[in-house]
Amino acid sequence: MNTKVQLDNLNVHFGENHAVKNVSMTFRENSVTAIIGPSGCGKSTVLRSINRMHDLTPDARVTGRAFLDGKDIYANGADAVTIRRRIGMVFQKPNPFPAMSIYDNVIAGYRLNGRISRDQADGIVESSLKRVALWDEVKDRLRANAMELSGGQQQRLCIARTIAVKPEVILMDEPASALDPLSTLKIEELIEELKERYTIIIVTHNMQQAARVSDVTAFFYLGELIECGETRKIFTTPEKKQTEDYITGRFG
Amino acid sequence: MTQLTLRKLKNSGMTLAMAAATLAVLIPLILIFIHIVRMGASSISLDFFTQIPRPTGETGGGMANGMVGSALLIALASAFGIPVGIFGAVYLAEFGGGRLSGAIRFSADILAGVPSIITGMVAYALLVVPMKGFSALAGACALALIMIPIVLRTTEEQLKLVPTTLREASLALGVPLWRTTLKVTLHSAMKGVMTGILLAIARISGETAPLLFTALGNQFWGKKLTEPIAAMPLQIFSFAIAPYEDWHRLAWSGALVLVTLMFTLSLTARYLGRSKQKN
Repeated sequence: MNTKVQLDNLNVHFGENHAVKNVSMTFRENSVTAIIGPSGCGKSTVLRSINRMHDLTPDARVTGRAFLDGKDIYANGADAVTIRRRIGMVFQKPNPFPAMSIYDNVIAGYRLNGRISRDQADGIVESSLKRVALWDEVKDRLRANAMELSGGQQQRLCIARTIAVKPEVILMDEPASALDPLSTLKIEELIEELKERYTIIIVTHNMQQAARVSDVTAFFYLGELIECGETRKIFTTPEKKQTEDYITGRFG
Repeated sequence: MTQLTLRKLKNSGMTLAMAAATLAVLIPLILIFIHIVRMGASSISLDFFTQIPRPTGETGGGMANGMVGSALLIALASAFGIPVGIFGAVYLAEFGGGRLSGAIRFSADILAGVPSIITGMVAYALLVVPMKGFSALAGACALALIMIPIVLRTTEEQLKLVPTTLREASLALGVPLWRTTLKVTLHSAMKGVMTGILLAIARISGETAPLLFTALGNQFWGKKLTEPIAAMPLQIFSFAIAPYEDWHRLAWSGALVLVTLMFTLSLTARYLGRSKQKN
Protein backbone atom coordinates (compact mmCIF):
# COMPACT_ATOMS: atom_id res chain seq x y z
CA MET A 1 0.00 0.00 0.00
CA ASN A 2 1.06 3.57 -0.61
CA THR A 3 2.60 5.82 1.96
CA LYS A 4 0.41 8.86 2.55
CA VAL A 5 2.22 10.65 5.33
CA GLN A 6 5.82 10.29 6.32
CA LEU A 7 7.75 11.76 9.20
CA ASP A 8 11.48 12.11 8.85
CA ASN A 9 13.50 12.93 11.92
CA LEU A 10 10.72 15.08 13.35
CA ASN A 11 11.49 17.06 16.49
CA VAL A 12 9.17 19.38 18.40
CA HIS A 13 10.34 21.76 21.08
CA PHE A 14 8.20 23.91 23.33
CA GLY A 15 10.67 26.43 24.65
CA GLU A 16 13.18 24.33 26.58
CA ASN A 17 11.01 21.24 26.52
CA HIS A 18 11.99 18.71 23.87
CA ALA A 19 8.58 17.08 23.45
CA VAL A 20 9.11 14.91 20.39
CA LYS A 21 12.49 13.40 19.63
CA ASN A 22 13.73 12.25 16.21
CA VAL A 23 10.57 10.54 15.12
CA SER A 24 10.62 8.82 11.74
CA MET A 25 7.67 6.75 10.61
CA THR A 26 5.22 6.27 7.77
CA PHE A 27 1.44 6.24 7.63
CA ARG A 28 -0.23 4.08 5.01
CA GLU A 29 -2.96 5.30 2.75
CA ASN A 30 -6.50 4.08 3.51
CA SER A 31 -5.58 2.52 6.78
CA VAL A 32 -5.88 3.39 10.43
CA THR A 33 -2.73 4.07 12.40
CA ALA A 34 -3.07 4.31 16.15
CA ILE A 35 -0.61 6.23 18.29
CA ILE A 36 -0.54 5.00 21.85
CA GLY A 37 1.50 5.78 24.92
CA PRO A 38 1.21 7.19 28.43
CA SER A 39 0.22 10.80 29.12
CA GLY A 40 2.86 13.31 28.14
CA CYS A 41 4.64 10.97 25.76
CA GLY A 42 4.23 13.39 22.87
CA LYS A 43 1.59 11.51 20.91
CA SER A 44 -0.77 14.48 20.54
CA THR A 45 2.19 16.70 19.76
CA VAL A 46 3.20 14.42 16.89
CA LEU A 47 -0.36 14.38 15.62
CA ARG A 48 -0.67 18.15 15.70
CA SER A 49 2.57 18.60 13.83
CA ILE A 50 1.10 16.71 10.86
CA ASN A 51 -1.37 19.52 10.08
CA ARG A 52 0.86 22.31 11.37
CA MET A 53 -1.32 23.14 14.36
CA HIS A 54 1.81 24.16 16.25
CA ASP A 55 2.23 27.15 13.95
CA LEU A 56 0.12 29.19 16.34
CA THR A 57 1.90 28.28 19.53
CA PRO A 58 4.47 31.04 19.92
CA ASP A 59 7.19 29.01 21.61
CA ALA A 60 6.73 25.80 19.61
CA ARG A 61 9.50 24.85 17.18
CA VAL A 62 9.20 21.99 14.71
CA THR A 63 12.31 20.69 12.99
CA GLY A 64 12.88 17.76 10.69
CA ARG A 65 10.53 16.96 7.87
CA ALA A 66 7.01 15.72 7.38
CA PHE A 67 5.72 14.64 4.00
CA LEU A 68 2.25 14.48 2.57
CA ASP A 69 2.28 12.54 -0.70
CA GLY A 70 6.01 13.05 -0.82
CA LYS A 71 5.88 16.83 -0.42
CA ASP A 72 7.41 18.41 2.67
CA ILE A 73 4.65 20.24 4.56
CA TYR A 74 7.23 22.29 6.43
CA ALA A 75 9.11 23.33 3.29
CA ASN A 76 9.48 27.03 2.51
CA GLY A 77 6.47 28.01 0.51
CA ALA A 78 4.30 25.19 1.80
CA ASP A 79 1.05 26.79 2.93
CA ALA A 80 -0.40 25.67 6.25
CA VAL A 81 -3.96 26.53 5.20
CA THR A 82 -3.77 24.39 2.07
CA ILE A 83 -2.29 21.56 4.09
CA ARG A 84 -5.05 21.76 6.69
CA ARG A 85 -7.65 21.52 3.93
CA ARG A 86 -6.09 18.21 2.95
CA ILE A 87 -5.49 17.02 6.51
CA GLY A 88 -8.56 17.41 8.70
CA MET A 89 -8.65 17.06 12.45
CA VAL A 90 -11.07 15.83 15.07
CA PHE A 91 -10.39 16.93 18.61
CA GLN A 92 -10.60 15.30 22.00
CA LYS A 93 -13.55 17.32 23.23
CA PRO A 94 -16.35 17.74 20.72
CA ASN A 95 -16.04 21.36 19.58
CA PRO A 96 -18.97 22.30 17.37
CA PHE A 97 -19.33 26.04 16.80
CA PRO A 98 -21.71 26.92 19.64
CA ALA A 99 -23.53 29.77 17.91
CA MET A 100 -24.31 27.70 14.82
CA SER A 101 -27.01 25.23 13.89
CA ILE A 102 -26.29 21.60 13.05
CA TYR A 103 -26.54 22.46 9.37
CA ASP A 104 -24.23 25.45 9.63
CA ASN A 105 -21.67 23.44 11.55
CA VAL A 106 -21.41 20.82 8.83
CA ILE A 107 -21.01 23.43 6.14
CA ALA A 108 -18.78 25.69 8.25
CA GLY A 109 -15.61 24.82 6.34
CA TYR A 110 -17.18 26.30 3.21
CA ARG A 111 -19.07 29.18 4.77
CA LEU A 112 -16.10 30.44 6.74
CA ASN A 113 -14.05 30.38 3.57
CA GLY A 114 -16.57 32.17 1.41
CA ARG A 115 -19.87 31.57 -0.25
CA ILE A 116 -21.42 28.36 -1.40
CA SER A 117 -24.67 27.83 -3.28
CA ARG A 118 -27.67 26.60 -1.36
CA ASP A 119 -28.12 23.43 -3.43
CA GLN A 120 -24.49 22.49 -3.14
CA ALA A 121 -24.58 23.08 0.60
CA ASP A 122 -27.70 20.95 1.04
CA GLY A 123 -26.04 18.09 -0.78
CA ILE A 124 -22.82 18.29 1.21
CA VAL A 125 -24.65 18.49 4.53
CA GLU A 126 -26.79 15.47 3.75
CA SER A 127 -24.00 13.26 2.44
CA SER A 128 -21.62 14.22 5.28
CA LEU A 129 -24.21 13.56 7.96
CA LYS A 130 -25.15 10.27 6.34
CA ARG A 131 -21.57 9.17 6.27
CA VAL A 132 -21.24 9.68 10.02
CA ALA A 133 -24.62 7.98 10.59
CA LEU A 134 -26.10 11.09 12.11
CA TRP A 135 -28.52 11.98 9.35
CA ASP A 136 -31.47 9.96 10.64
CA GLU A 137 -31.08 11.38 14.12
CA VAL A 138 -30.98 15.04 13.08
CA LYS A 139 -32.62 15.37 9.66
CA ASP A 140 -35.75 16.90 11.18
CA ARG A 141 -33.90 19.50 13.18
CA LEU A 142 -31.01 20.64 11.05
CA ARG A 143 -31.69 24.21 12.15
CA ALA A 144 -31.44 23.37 15.84
CA ASN A 145 -28.42 24.58 17.73
CA ALA A 146 -25.56 22.12 17.63
CA MET A 147 -25.14 22.30 21.39
CA GLU A 148 -28.50 20.56 21.85
CA LEU A 149 -26.97 17.30 20.65
CA SER A 150 -25.49 14.76 23.04
CA GLY A 151 -21.72 14.55 23.40
CA GLY A 152 -21.48 11.53 21.11
CA GLN A 153 -23.67 13.18 18.49
CA GLN A 154 -21.60 16.35 18.73
CA GLN A 155 -18.45 14.39 18.06
CA ARG A 156 -20.00 12.72 15.03
CA LEU A 157 -21.10 16.17 13.91
CA CYS A 158 -17.49 17.33 14.21
CA ILE A 159 -16.39 14.38 12.10
CA ALA A 160 -19.06 15.27 9.53
CA ARG A 161 -17.78 18.84 9.53
CA THR A 162 -14.26 17.53 8.92
CA ILE A 163 -15.15 15.19 6.05
CA ALA A 164 -17.44 17.81 4.47
CA VAL A 165 -14.39 19.67 3.20
CA LYS A 166 -13.12 16.43 1.61
CA PRO A 167 -9.76 15.99 3.27
CA GLU A 168 -7.42 13.13 2.40
CA VAL A 169 -6.14 12.48 5.90
CA ILE A 170 -8.08 12.70 9.16
CA LEU A 171 -6.22 13.22 12.41
CA MET A 172 -8.11 12.18 15.52
CA ASP A 173 -6.90 13.28 18.93
CA GLU A 174 -8.52 10.90 21.42
CA PRO A 175 -11.88 11.37 19.72
CA ALA A 176 -13.81 9.13 22.09
CA SER A 177 -12.16 9.86 25.41
CA ALA A 178 -14.90 12.28 26.47
CA LEU A 179 -17.72 9.94 25.41
CA ASP A 180 -19.74 7.15 26.98
CA PRO A 181 -19.15 3.52 25.88
CA LEU A 182 -22.04 3.42 23.40
CA SER A 183 -21.00 6.62 21.69
CA THR A 184 -17.44 5.33 21.67
CA LEU A 185 -18.59 2.20 19.89
CA LYS A 186 -20.32 4.28 17.24
CA ILE A 187 -17.21 6.37 16.66
CA GLU A 188 -15.13 3.22 16.34
CA GLU A 189 -17.52 1.73 13.78
CA LEU A 190 -17.35 4.98 11.94
CA ILE A 191 -13.55 4.92 11.84
CA GLU A 192 -13.73 1.45 10.33
CA GLU A 193 -15.93 2.79 7.52
CA LEU A 194 -14.03 6.02 7.01
CA LYS A 195 -10.74 4.30 6.29
CA GLU A 196 -12.05 3.20 2.92
CA ARG A 197 -11.84 6.79 1.76
CA TYR A 198 -9.40 8.44 4.13
CA THR A 199 -6.09 7.88 5.79
CA ILE A 200 -6.74 7.97 9.51
CA ILE A 201 -4.28 8.67 12.28
CA ILE A 202 -5.73 8.31 15.75
CA VAL A 203 -4.20 9.10 19.10
CA THR A 204 -5.75 7.11 21.89
CA HIS A 205 -5.27 6.43 25.53
CA ASN A 206 -7.30 3.34 25.29
CA MET A 207 -5.28 0.30 24.22
CA GLN A 208 -8.32 -1.84 23.54
CA GLN A 209 -9.52 0.86 21.23
CA ALA A 210 -6.21 0.90 19.38
CA ALA A 211 -6.39 -2.88 19.06
CA ARG A 212 -9.98 -2.73 17.79
CA VAL A 213 -9.75 0.03 15.21
CA SER A 214 -6.22 0.21 13.90
CA ASP A 215 -4.18 -1.61 11.30
CA VAL A 216 -0.87 -0.24 12.49
CA THR A 217 0.08 0.84 16.00
CA ALA A 218 2.89 3.11 17.09
CA PHE A 219 3.98 3.21 20.70
CA PHE A 220 5.48 6.42 22.05
CA TYR A 221 7.28 6.92 25.31
CA LEU A 222 8.89 10.12 26.61
CA GLY A 223 8.76 11.77 23.21
CA GLU A 224 10.34 8.89 21.35
CA LEU A 225 8.85 6.37 18.98
CA ILE A 226 9.60 3.07 20.68
CA GLU A 227 7.98 0.67 18.29
CA CYS A 228 5.74 0.73 15.27
CA GLY A 229 4.21 -2.21 13.46
CA GLU A 230 1.12 -4.17 12.55
CA THR A 231 -1.39 -3.79 15.37
CA ARG A 232 -1.79 -7.52 15.84
CA LYS A 233 1.94 -7.94 16.20
CA ILE A 234 2.37 -5.02 18.59
CA PHE A 235 -0.31 -6.41 20.87
CA THR A 236 0.78 -10.04 20.74
CA THR A 237 4.50 -10.18 20.16
CA PRO A 238 6.04 -6.75 20.66
CA GLU A 239 9.75 -6.54 20.07
CA LYS A 240 10.62 -4.03 22.76
CA LYS A 241 10.37 -4.60 26.47
CA GLN A 242 8.86 -1.13 27.08
CA THR A 243 6.05 -1.82 24.63
CA GLU A 244 5.26 -5.09 26.30
CA ASP A 245 5.28 -3.51 29.74
CA TYR A 246 2.93 -0.79 28.59
CA ILE A 247 0.40 -2.96 26.80
CA THR A 248 0.30 -5.45 29.62
CA GLY A 249 -0.46 -2.61 32.01
CA ARG A 250 2.75 -2.64 33.99
CA PHE A 251 3.04 1.13 33.68
CA GLY A 252 1.35 4.09 32.06
CA MET B 1 -22.16 34.46 77.02
CA THR B 2 -21.58 31.19 75.25
CA GLN B 3 -19.45 30.97 72.15
CA LEU B 4 -22.45 30.17 70.01
CA THR B 5 -24.39 33.30 70.93
CA LEU B 6 -21.26 35.37 70.51
CA ARG B 7 -20.77 33.98 67.03
CA LYS B 8 -24.39 34.60 66.13
CA LEU B 9 -24.11 38.13 67.43
CA LYS B 10 -21.04 38.74 65.33
CA ASN B 11 -22.85 37.32 62.34
CA SER B 12 -25.80 39.67 62.79
CA GLY B 13 -23.47 42.60 63.34
CA MET B 14 -21.57 41.94 60.12
CA THR B 15 -24.76 41.35 58.13
CA LEU B 16 -26.04 44.70 59.34
CA ALA B 17 -22.79 46.43 58.44
CA MET B 18 -22.94 45.03 54.94
CA ALA B 19 -26.57 45.97 54.50
CA ALA B 20 -25.66 49.50 55.58
CA ALA B 21 -22.83 49.62 53.06
CA THR B 22 -25.21 48.48 50.33
CA LEU B 23 -27.62 51.24 51.28
CA ALA B 24 -24.81 53.76 51.27
CA VAL B 25 -24.18 52.82 47.65
CA LEU B 26 -27.83 52.84 46.66
CA ILE B 27 -29.10 55.92 48.46
CA PRO B 28 -26.98 58.55 46.65
CA LEU B 29 -27.99 57.09 43.29
CA ILE B 30 -31.64 57.14 44.20
CA LEU B 31 -31.35 60.65 45.65
CA ILE B 32 -29.63 61.93 42.53
CA PHE B 33 -32.25 60.42 40.32
CA ILE B 34 -35.19 61.70 42.38
CA HIS B 35 -33.70 65.15 42.57
CA ILE B 36 -33.02 65.35 38.84
CA VAL B 37 -36.49 64.12 38.01
CA ARG B 38 -38.07 66.67 40.41
CA MET B 39 -36.05 69.57 39.05
CA GLY B 40 -35.97 68.57 35.41
CA ALA B 41 -39.23 66.85 34.56
CA SER B 42 -41.30 70.03 34.58
CA SER B 43 -39.40 71.61 31.68
CA ILE B 44 -39.39 68.52 29.52
CA SER B 45 -41.69 69.29 26.64
CA LEU B 46 -41.72 68.93 22.91
CA ASP B 47 -39.96 72.29 22.70
CA PHE B 48 -37.12 70.97 24.78
CA PHE B 49 -36.34 68.37 22.13
CA THR B 50 -37.00 70.53 19.05
CA GLN B 51 -35.95 74.10 19.91
CA ILE B 52 -32.55 75.65 20.34
CA PRO B 53 -31.87 77.89 23.35
CA ARG B 54 -33.62 81.28 23.20
CA PRO B 55 -31.68 84.51 23.69
CA THR B 56 -31.48 85.70 27.27
CA GLY B 57 -34.67 87.30 28.46
CA GLU B 58 -36.96 85.15 26.37
CA THR B 59 -38.51 82.15 28.04
CA GLY B 60 -38.79 78.67 26.59
CA GLY B 61 -36.41 77.12 24.15
CA GLY B 62 -34.75 73.74 24.30
CA MET B 63 -31.58 71.82 23.83
CA ALA B 64 -32.17 70.27 20.44
CA ASN B 65 -28.83 71.50 19.12
CA GLY B 66 -27.05 70.01 22.12
CA MET B 67 -28.70 66.66 21.64
CA VAL B 68 -27.94 66.52 17.96
CA GLY B 69 -24.42 67.78 18.66
CA SER B 70 -23.85 65.12 21.30
CA ALA B 71 -25.20 62.42 19.02
CA LEU B 72 -22.88 63.60 16.26
CA LEU B 73 -19.86 63.78 18.56
CA ILE B 74 -20.57 60.30 19.91
CA ALA B 75 -21.04 58.90 16.41
CA LEU B 76 -17.80 60.45 15.19
CA ALA B 77 -15.87 59.43 18.29
CA SER B 78 -17.20 55.88 17.87
CA ALA B 79 -16.21 55.86 14.22
CA PHE B 80 -12.63 56.71 15.23
CA GLY B 81 -12.40 54.93 18.55
CA ILE B 82 -14.23 51.62 18.12
CA PRO B 83 -12.23 50.31 15.13
CA VAL B 84 -8.94 51.29 16.73
CA GLY B 85 -9.97 49.69 20.02
CA ILE B 86 -11.18 46.48 18.41
CA PHE B 87 -8.26 46.08 16.02
CA GLY B 88 -5.83 46.80 18.82
CA ALA B 89 -7.52 44.20 20.99
CA VAL B 90 -7.45 41.62 18.21
CA TYR B 91 -3.74 42.25 17.83
CA LEU B 92 -3.16 41.87 21.56
CA ALA B 93 -5.28 38.79 22.03
CA GLU B 94 -4.63 36.90 18.81
CA PHE B 95 -1.33 37.97 17.29
CA GLY B 96 0.51 39.81 20.01
CA GLY B 97 2.98 38.62 22.52
CA GLY B 98 6.20 40.02 23.75
CA ARG B 99 7.24 43.55 24.55
CA LEU B 100 5.09 45.48 22.11
CA SER B 101 1.90 43.97 23.52
CA GLY B 102 3.01 44.73 27.03
CA ALA B 103 3.70 48.31 26.03
CA ILE B 104 0.30 48.67 24.34
CA ARG B 105 -1.53 47.24 27.33
CA PHE B 106 0.36 49.48 29.70
CA SER B 107 -0.32 52.57 27.59
CA ALA B 108 -4.00 51.71 27.36
CA ASP B 109 -4.24 51.38 31.11
CA ILE B 110 -2.48 54.69 31.64
CA LEU B 111 -4.61 56.35 28.97
CA ALA B 112 -7.74 55.07 30.71
CA GLY B 113 -6.55 56.70 33.92
CA VAL B 114 -5.60 60.07 32.41
CA PRO B 115 -7.98 62.78 33.69
CA SER B 116 -10.29 63.69 30.84
CA ILE B 117 -9.46 67.38 31.08
CA ILE B 118 -5.90 66.51 30.10
CA THR B 119 -7.15 64.55 27.12
CA GLY B 120 -9.02 67.74 26.16
CA MET B 121 -5.87 69.84 26.53
CA VAL B 122 -3.92 67.45 24.33
CA ALA B 123 -6.62 67.57 21.67
CA TYR B 124 -6.53 71.35 21.96
CA ALA B 125 -2.79 71.49 21.43
CA LEU B 126 -2.71 68.92 18.63
CA LEU B 127 -5.89 69.74 16.75
CA VAL B 128 -7.51 73.01 17.75
CA VAL B 129 -4.35 75.11 17.55
CA PRO B 130 -3.14 73.81 14.15
CA MET B 131 -6.68 73.95 12.75
CA LYS B 132 -6.99 77.46 14.07
CA GLY B 133 -10.36 76.99 15.67
CA PHE B 134 -12.57 74.92 17.91
CA SER B 135 -14.37 72.18 16.06
CA ALA B 136 -16.66 69.18 16.34
CA LEU B 137 -13.84 67.14 14.83
CA ALA B 138 -11.44 68.01 17.63
CA GLY B 139 -14.15 67.20 20.19
CA ALA B 140 -14.79 63.83 18.61
CA CYS B 141 -11.08 63.02 18.62
CA ALA B 142 -10.79 63.86 22.30
CA LEU B 143 -13.76 61.60 23.05
CA ALA B 144 -12.32 58.86 20.84
CA LEU B 145 -9.12 58.97 22.89
CA ILE B 146 -11.21 58.26 25.96
CA MET B 147 -13.07 55.42 24.24
CA ILE B 148 -10.08 53.57 22.84
CA PRO B 149 -8.65 52.13 26.07
CA ILE B 150 -12.10 51.09 27.30
CA VAL B 151 -13.00 49.30 24.07
CA LEU B 152 -9.50 47.86 23.75
CA ARG B 153 -9.31 46.31 27.16
CA THR B 154 -12.87 44.95 27.31
CA THR B 155 -12.57 43.49 23.82
CA GLU B 156 -9.25 41.90 24.66
CA GLU B 157 -10.73 40.29 27.77
CA GLN B 158 -13.68 38.99 25.76
CA LEU B 159 -11.44 37.56 23.05
CA LYS B 160 -9.37 35.76 25.64
CA LEU B 161 -12.53 34.09 26.94
CA VAL B 162 -13.18 32.45 23.57
CA PRO B 163 -11.99 28.85 23.98
CA THR B 164 -8.90 27.86 21.98
CA THR B 165 -10.76 24.76 20.81
CA LEU B 166 -13.04 26.95 18.69
CA ARG B 167 -10.15 28.64 16.95
CA GLU B 168 -8.58 25.24 16.36
CA ALA B 169 -11.83 23.83 15.00
CA SER B 170 -11.88 26.55 12.39
CA LEU B 171 -8.18 26.39 11.56
CA ALA B 172 -8.33 22.62 11.18
CA LEU B 173 -10.98 23.11 8.50
CA GLY B 174 -8.43 25.01 6.47
CA VAL B 175 -9.79 28.43 7.31
CA PRO B 176 -7.00 31.04 7.30
CA LEU B 177 -6.12 32.68 10.59
CA TRP B 178 -7.49 36.08 9.64
CA ARG B 179 -10.86 34.64 8.66
CA THR B 180 -10.90 32.53 11.80
CA THR B 181 -10.20 35.61 13.88
CA LEU B 182 -12.91 37.61 12.17
CA LYS B 183 -15.64 35.04 11.74
CA VAL B 184 -15.12 32.72 14.67
CA THR B 185 -13.20 34.40 17.45
CA LEU B 186 -14.49 37.94 17.16
CA HIS B 187 -17.94 36.68 16.25
CA SER B 188 -18.12 34.52 19.38
CA ALA B 189 -17.04 37.45 21.52
CA MET B 190 -19.44 39.90 19.87
CA LYS B 191 -21.89 40.30 22.75
CA GLY B 192 -19.13 41.04 25.20
CA VAL B 193 -17.56 43.45 22.75
CA MET B 194 -20.90 45.23 22.34
CA THR B 195 -21.15 45.53 26.11
CA GLY B 196 -17.76 47.21 26.18
CA ILE B 197 -18.74 49.57 23.38
CA LEU B 198 -21.97 50.57 25.13
CA LEU B 199 -20.12 51.24 28.36
CA ALA B 200 -17.60 53.35 26.47
CA ILE B 201 -20.41 55.33 24.85
CA ALA B 202 -22.11 55.80 28.21
CA ARG B 203 -18.83 57.07 29.56
CA ILE B 204 -18.18 59.63 26.81
CA SER B 205 -21.76 60.83 26.53
CA GLY B 206 -21.37 62.60 29.84
CA GLU B 207 -17.81 63.86 29.39
CA THR B 208 -17.63 67.63 29.67
CA ALA B 209 -14.04 68.54 30.35
CA PRO B 210 -12.50 67.32 27.08
CA LEU B 211 -15.13 69.21 25.10
CA LEU B 212 -14.45 72.52 26.81
CA PHE B 213 -11.37 73.26 24.72
CA THR B 214 -12.32 71.31 21.63
CA ALA B 215 -15.99 71.34 20.63
CA LEU B 216 -16.43 74.49 22.74
CA GLY B 217 -20.23 74.54 22.50
CA ASN B 218 -22.55 76.53 20.30
CA GLN B 219 -25.77 78.40 21.01
CA PHE B 220 -27.01 77.61 17.54
CA TRP B 221 -27.00 74.68 15.15
CA GLY B 222 -23.49 73.77 14.09
CA LYS B 223 -23.18 73.73 10.34
CA LYS B 224 -19.82 72.13 9.74
CA LEU B 225 -17.63 69.63 11.50
CA THR B 226 -14.86 72.21 11.48
CA GLU B 227 -16.96 74.63 13.54
CA PRO B 228 -17.74 74.61 17.24
CA ILE B 229 -20.66 72.37 18.05
CA ALA B 230 -23.11 72.20 20.93
CA ALA B 231 -23.12 69.20 23.26
CA MET B 232 -25.43 68.31 26.11
CA PRO B 233 -22.88 68.26 28.90
CA LEU B 234 -21.49 71.62 27.75
CA GLN B 235 -24.96 73.12 27.61
CA ILE B 236 -25.80 71.81 31.03
CA PHE B 237 -22.60 73.33 32.35
CA SER B 238 -23.07 76.78 30.80
CA PHE B 239 -26.78 76.93 31.63
CA ALA B 240 -26.28 75.81 35.18
CA ILE B 241 -23.76 78.58 35.92
CA ALA B 242 -25.80 81.26 34.15
CA PRO B 243 -27.80 83.66 36.35
CA TYR B 244 -31.19 82.90 34.80
CA GLU B 245 -33.85 80.83 36.45
CA ASP B 246 -35.13 79.63 33.09
CA TRP B 247 -31.73 78.31 32.02
CA HIS B 248 -31.33 76.51 35.28
CA ARG B 249 -34.52 74.62 34.56
CA LEU B 250 -33.24 73.71 31.10
CA ALA B 251 -29.99 72.51 32.64
CA TRP B 252 -31.93 70.21 34.96
CA SER B 253 -33.94 68.84 32.07
CA GLY B 254 -30.74 68.26 30.14
CA ALA B 255 -29.33 66.41 33.13
CA LEU B 256 -32.44 64.25 33.27
CA VAL B 257 -32.17 63.35 29.59
CA LEU B 258 -28.47 62.55 29.94
CA VAL B 259 -28.94 60.40 33.03
CA THR B 260 -31.80 58.53 31.36
CA LEU B 261 -29.60 57.87 28.36
CA MET B 262 -26.80 56.50 30.52
CA PHE B 263 -29.24 54.43 32.50
CA THR B 264 -30.55 52.88 29.29
CA LEU B 265 -27.07 52.21 27.95
CA SER B 266 -25.95 50.60 31.18
CA LEU B 267 -29.06 48.45 31.38
CA THR B 268 -28.64 47.33 27.77
CA ALA B 269 -25.00 46.52 28.45
CA ARG B 270 -26.01 44.49 31.50
CA TYR B 271 -28.71 42.70 29.57
CA LEU B 272 -26.25 41.77 26.84
CA GLY B 273 -23.74 40.61 29.43
CA ARG B 274 -26.32 38.42 31.08
CA SER B 275 -27.75 36.85 27.96
CA LYS B 276 -24.21 35.90 27.03
CA GLN B 277 -23.70 33.88 30.19
CA LYS B 278 -26.65 31.67 29.35
CA ASN B 279 -24.98 30.34 26.22
